[in-house]
Amino acid sequence: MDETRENRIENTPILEVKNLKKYFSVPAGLVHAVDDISFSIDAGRTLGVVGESGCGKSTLGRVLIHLLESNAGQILFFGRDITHVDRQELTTLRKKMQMIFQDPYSSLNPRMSLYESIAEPLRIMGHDNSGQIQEKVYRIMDTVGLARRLVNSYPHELDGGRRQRIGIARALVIEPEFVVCDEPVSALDVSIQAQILNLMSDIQEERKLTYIFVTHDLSVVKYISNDILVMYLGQMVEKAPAKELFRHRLHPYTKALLSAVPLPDIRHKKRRIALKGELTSPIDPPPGCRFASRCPYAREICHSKTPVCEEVLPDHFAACHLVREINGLS
Amino acid sequence: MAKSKMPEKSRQRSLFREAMIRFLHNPTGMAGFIIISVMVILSLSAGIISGGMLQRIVIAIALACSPELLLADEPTTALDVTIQAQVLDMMNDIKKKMGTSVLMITHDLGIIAEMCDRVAVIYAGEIVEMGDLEHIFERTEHPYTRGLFDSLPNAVGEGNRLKPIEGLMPDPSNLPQGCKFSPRCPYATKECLEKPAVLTEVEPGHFVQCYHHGCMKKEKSRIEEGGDGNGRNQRK
Repeated sequence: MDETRENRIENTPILEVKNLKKYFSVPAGLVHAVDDISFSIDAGRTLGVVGESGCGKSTLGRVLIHLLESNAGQILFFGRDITHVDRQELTTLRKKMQMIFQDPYSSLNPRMSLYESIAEPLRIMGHDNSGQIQEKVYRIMDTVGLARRLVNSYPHELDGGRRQRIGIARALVIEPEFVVCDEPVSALDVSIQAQILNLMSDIQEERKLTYIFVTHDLSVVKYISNDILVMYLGQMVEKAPAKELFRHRLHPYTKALLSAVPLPDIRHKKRRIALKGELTSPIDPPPGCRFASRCPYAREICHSKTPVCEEVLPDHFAACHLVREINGLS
Repeated sequence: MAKSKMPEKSRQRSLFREAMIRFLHNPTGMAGFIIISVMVILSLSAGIISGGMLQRIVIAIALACSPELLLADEPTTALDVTIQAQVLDMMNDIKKKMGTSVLMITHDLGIIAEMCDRVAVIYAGEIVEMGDLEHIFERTEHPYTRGLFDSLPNAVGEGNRLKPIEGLMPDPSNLPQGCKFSPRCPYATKECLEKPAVLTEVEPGHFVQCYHHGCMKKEKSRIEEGGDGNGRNQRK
């Protein structure tokens, strides 16, 4: 686990996920929160994970970071299997993989000052030289745009944007390579969102970070992602480079999702694809496509056989029995 | 009276369906209103109601007495995008069928584009700009409104940085002396900092509260002629 950047094989993706599953046992049955997800990301890129509530995107993020244990499948970090790690390996792993949480109001300890919050990860990782710690804290504060005079402030004295910057500082102060961002701007006002997204983008470029950006906001994901993965009820329904996904949406759910977003444009009135009904239950789902009950194209096979996610166009994957027919492809 | 043999959930569902049908036939009926409220409570405990359904019921309850004006305060903020689409379609439908006027409070410019006829933009408790949809979207006059449009991710081309509004909202207990937006405004001059402007009509039905309301039009035509100095049209 102690390999350095130099030891790594060229062109190995930073993260490879193979048939990952996470199930939760509830009185009513087994919740298929993350169900057979596979993808890979290259270092320095951003994978956006989109979907609506209950699709499993946050759970996926937490499993990758080992906040939750997976039930099946594999996670590989630069080719090394990190699916199940012991306590010592996990500490080393945490130096390389970190998380930025969604709610800047509840993810900070209200009794810790800004300085203490940012210094905490360093202390946990074993740094004990207070001079060095101070230097690192100040440096990351400068990077994320937190004024030095705020060092002794407490979360309740600061606005959402500044609190989120503390969250980002905490994640980055130990210099990880890979960051899972769980809806990092959803709780913020639109113009603060823009400030934080610019910041995250700049830091990524400077430090060659890899992001998994989990969000429900399609305009944000389009802006920040290189590739996008669309989830529905725990499954991967489509994956493609960001521009390609918006240009050629293949899966019926993606079509409906993208058409449902109201655009701030009064000149081009678009036609929305209306979905019938509500989400089906993720508890003990029956075989067949989970989207079938709401899909305008659904046929017999959709209700009985689960579709497999396959490459339909170059680097563009979709899980749908009728994908070629619906989109006029051979 | 014979007890129903159906399982609890299906019994609730069919009672609920019955009440909805009765309600739809007689939207002003008090009986319908009461039945719906009771069913909502029972259904919530049985867990068969989702956020979207609940929001549609809340709207139905609000319309139960055929009001002339509906106040909708961020009605779809907590909802998924596809459910939001259903709710917005329903509201538009009701507007047409019942002739209800809607006061929609939202931060989402996309929803405004789809649902609204007139728009009022508020900053620190004051209306800074007001007009028809076209006035606000096509001929924006106030720098704050412009800032809101510019900070959207859809506003930038690929590879460009987002354009946030600098600074933060003012502390309501310590508001600036002149125009409340002036500390953050890229066009602010001395008179803006000293005394706030008055809401003026700049074209029929379009009102702005700003001394410099013409300046963005000039800048826009300069950009259209071929790129401006601060690199806005350049790639990163």
